[in-house]
Amino acid sequence: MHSIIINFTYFLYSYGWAIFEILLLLFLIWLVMKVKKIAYSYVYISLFLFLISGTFVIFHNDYIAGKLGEIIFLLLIVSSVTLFMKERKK
Amino acid sequence: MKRNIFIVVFVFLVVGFIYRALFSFLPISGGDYISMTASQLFTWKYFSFYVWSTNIDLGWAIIPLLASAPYTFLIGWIGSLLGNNGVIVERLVWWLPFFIIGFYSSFTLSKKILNNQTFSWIAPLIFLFNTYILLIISGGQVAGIGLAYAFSPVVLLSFIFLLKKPTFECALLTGIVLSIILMFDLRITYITLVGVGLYIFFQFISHLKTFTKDFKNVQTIVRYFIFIVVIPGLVVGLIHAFWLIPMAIVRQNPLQQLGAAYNTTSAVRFFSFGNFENAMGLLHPNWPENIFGKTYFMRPEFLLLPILAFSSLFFINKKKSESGSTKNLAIIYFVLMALVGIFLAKGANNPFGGVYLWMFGHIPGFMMFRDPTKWYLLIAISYSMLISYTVSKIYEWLQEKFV
Repeated sequence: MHSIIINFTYFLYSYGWAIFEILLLLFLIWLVMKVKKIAYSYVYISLFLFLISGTFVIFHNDYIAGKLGEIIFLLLIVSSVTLFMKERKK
Repeated sequence: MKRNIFIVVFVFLVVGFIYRALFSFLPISGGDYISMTASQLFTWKYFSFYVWSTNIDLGWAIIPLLASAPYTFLIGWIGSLLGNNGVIVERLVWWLPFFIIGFYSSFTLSKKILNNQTFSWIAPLIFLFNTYILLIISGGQVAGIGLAYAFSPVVLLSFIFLLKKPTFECALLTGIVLSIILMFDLRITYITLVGVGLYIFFQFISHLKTFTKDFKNVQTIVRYFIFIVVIPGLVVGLIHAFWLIPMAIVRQNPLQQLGAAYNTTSAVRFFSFGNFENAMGLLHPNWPENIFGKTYFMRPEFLLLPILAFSSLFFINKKKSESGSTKNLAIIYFVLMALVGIFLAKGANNPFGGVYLWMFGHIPGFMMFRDPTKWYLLIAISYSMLISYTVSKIYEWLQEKFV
């Protein structure tokens, strides 16, 4: 039991963030498929996150700023692909 | 007219201030800089096309480096005309073309995308004065990477024209343009072609309906393939045959000979200096001191660049017009190109650094990129286009609101 907990903790430590990002990406895709107009909101959210990450950068916490950057990256990918698909249909 | 003169003077002053060392009569130096001595100019004039170089140890075969031989031969020839005065020659053949080509290429690409001459002037400012290219050329790589970097928007532009109008003349011109960039640097050529490939894929997807209609006709498929791939490829192959044929005969991968420092994934891990936030901010990890391997904290002011660049998505034209739609697609293309560039420029770092390592080991040609910062080129091109677009739209919005 003890080793299972240790192994699971290690697994979460190693891959937890990557799994979270994949799940977040899937959620963003699902949401944008449900509500198409939300693609613009993603851009707004990403700009808002840019400002927050800027605050972390000012205080030299590059680690959190980088993680926020990764979320921004996902938001921008989903929004730009959605906008592209929308533009294609015109 | 007055506005144009003002812009030219402004740009000239910026160049004069940032590159003030170029306006002196002193020789330029840098880590990777090739000093233009009289003997170097003499070697270039008479031995440019030699496959054996004696400048390292007992000599070594330099077949892949021969790509630049036509240009070095030209430099040697110009040098002998100017009395082998290296100070003048280096400014004339490296620095001046770097500014002129870099300025003209990014300006023209932006003008094509924006359709607005006034704000297209912003593109060269971003393209030529970002931290990546400043450190590259201050490190002495203006001769190869610098000139190829300046030339890369021309390649993209020529492919944009070729796709729009697939004729023999356009295909021939694209081939010549591709040969020129290949002469300067193979890696930058590869990265530019990734950008071009992305553009072709993007155009293919966006015009899928027309393509499926057209592609029922085999003739159309063959025509596109011939004009976009075969003719430019043939022109490049023929112009560069003098080193491509020896390479094919020798059948040796030059990177394999260089050893573990060049071709192992641990080398990639070591050279991945740029983090995700650096790539997003178009901030070279070694900025400002350019000491190899010495990285710094992220700087908040550099977040302004991605904010401005990605804000372009807000200004996508919602009206259903053909010109508006083309511009919208171009903007989305540059956003996606920037995101691809960001993902690759961070190399083996998080997130999903394993993807880069896998590509390094499996995708042909990727072995050239043990230093992932080369991918900053895609970010630089994209940001220069997107920022000029955003600024022009903000200007229009302010004019509507307050004037």
